[in-house]
Amino acid sequence: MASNADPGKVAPLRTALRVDQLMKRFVSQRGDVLALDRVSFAASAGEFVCLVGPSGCGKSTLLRLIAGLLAPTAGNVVFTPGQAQPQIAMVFQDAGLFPWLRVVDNVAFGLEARGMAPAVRRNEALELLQRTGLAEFAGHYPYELSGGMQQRVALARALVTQPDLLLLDEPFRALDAQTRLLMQEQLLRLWEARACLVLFVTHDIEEAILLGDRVLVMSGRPGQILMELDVPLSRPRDLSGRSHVEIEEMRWRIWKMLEPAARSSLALPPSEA
Amino acid sequence: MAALVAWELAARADMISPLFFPAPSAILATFWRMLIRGELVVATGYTLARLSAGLLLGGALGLVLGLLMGWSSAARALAEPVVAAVHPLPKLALLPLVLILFGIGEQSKVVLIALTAFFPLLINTTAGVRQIDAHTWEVARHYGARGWMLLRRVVWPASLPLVLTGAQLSLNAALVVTVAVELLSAQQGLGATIWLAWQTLRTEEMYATLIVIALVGMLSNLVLVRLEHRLIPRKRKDESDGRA
Ligand SMILES: Nc1ncnc2c1ncn2[C@@H]1O[C@H](COP(=O)(O)OP(=O)(O)OP(=O)(O)O)[C@@H](O)[C@H]1O
Ligand SMILES: [Mg+2]
Repeated sequence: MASNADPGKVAPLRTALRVDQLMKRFVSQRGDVLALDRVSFAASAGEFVCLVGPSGCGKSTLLRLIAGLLAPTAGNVVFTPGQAQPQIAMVFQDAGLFPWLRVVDNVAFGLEARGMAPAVRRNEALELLQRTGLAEFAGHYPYELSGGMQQRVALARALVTQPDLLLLDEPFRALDAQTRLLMQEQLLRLWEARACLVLFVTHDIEEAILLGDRVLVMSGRPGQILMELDVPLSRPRDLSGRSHVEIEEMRWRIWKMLEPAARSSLALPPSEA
Repeated sequence: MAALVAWELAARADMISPLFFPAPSAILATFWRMLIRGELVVATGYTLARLSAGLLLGGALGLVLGLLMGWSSAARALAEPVVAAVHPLPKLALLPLVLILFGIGEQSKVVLIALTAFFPLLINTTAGVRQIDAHTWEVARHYGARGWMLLRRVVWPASLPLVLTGAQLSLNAALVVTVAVELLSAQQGLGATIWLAWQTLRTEEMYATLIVIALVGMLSNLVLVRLEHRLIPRKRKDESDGRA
């Protein structure tokens, strides 16, 4: 892989994604778990797709299958154009930083694996740390950072590899409301500049609507796609204009869809209304 | 402290045999005399040389094979029965065999010490690699780490705490065997000095040498602890996940 001093320069492959009848069953002595049941959807190049669903419905599993970290029980993940294997970068739900590496080395990890020279990869890592507001923590170890900061480091580690497909597993979960808003904006800016395909998992319906071109709603386990909604908001998005009527209406529809599964996953009685 | 004073008084009052339990002051005087005359320094030099040669040889081998066994289940399947069979043998019991194989010179002593140092590092390094959790492997693999980089950036630092524990066990076991081998078959070294002192009933010299062995053990362990602080500056958190 050729090194490139300017992170803005390597254009993403026009990667599109098709998930076809994907099924995943975890087998163990304590009983099998059907995590995903015939999940199908497609995402076109440059799209920002959000995925919401109740806890345990297989969202993380779906991302792992797409990243090739798990093998599906049945079904396929197909990338187009088929000729090149796209660069995939995932932000794991638990950050997954290496505690023995400094922040800057954590961020540069993927670049180092590609054989990029130390000075070059350091510069690129520092630039992304700058953009995620963590420049002054470059020399720290992960344990010296808060949970939300660790999550931002994980985001920087993914972005610095200039992926064609970016998989985000609840990356802003641990952030306070203000930082979260800023990070959402920052992510949108970075994505608009790069226009790679993004799959964004969240449990926050509003976040899904605000960020996504499209929202996929999943059922409780075994996870299935219940519905797909196009988000009618224009780009670039103004995240502070949040009280649009359409958003409220979408939010309500998604919640109505999710409510039974959410209730049953908590073993609550069905609502009266 | 009180025990030392009691010992001193009892020895002076002839309540205990000063031949077998000489007064601490007499031991210290002998210690000082042996130090000045250089015999303790020379003996310590021999012991340290054997110890470090054996440690380096056996330790390095244990480390490399341990990494291999931790990494590859094929290597583990191959080596585990051998380890299970040889490891529990008291290594000193192998001395005659080693003497036959390597002659009566330094070589056989170092081989025996190396054999002793080999197993704790092998076993701990293997365990160190094996306890790396699936998620760490997953993240490393996802970001493209393989081969040398995977070893240097992930496997090695992840298993280092257990490796260092293994190094400490190796060191202490090797020190024991070094002195024992010298007792049994050497002309020089701390173990040999003890044996000679005992045979000529110069018990003060025996005690003085024991002090040196204790010091060697303490100091080398101290060095290892320092090394550990140097190599692992971070505080370890098993879960560095985002749940704040
Ligand atoms: N490695 C695994 N082995 C066995 N079962 C697993 C494994 N990973 C996930 N599962 C099971 O698969 C199901 C889906 O898990 P997954 O982590 O994908 O859910 P999720 O939608 O990401 O949940 P959350 O929103 O809580 O993160 C769960 O029931 C879980 O127990
Ligand atoms: Mg999850």
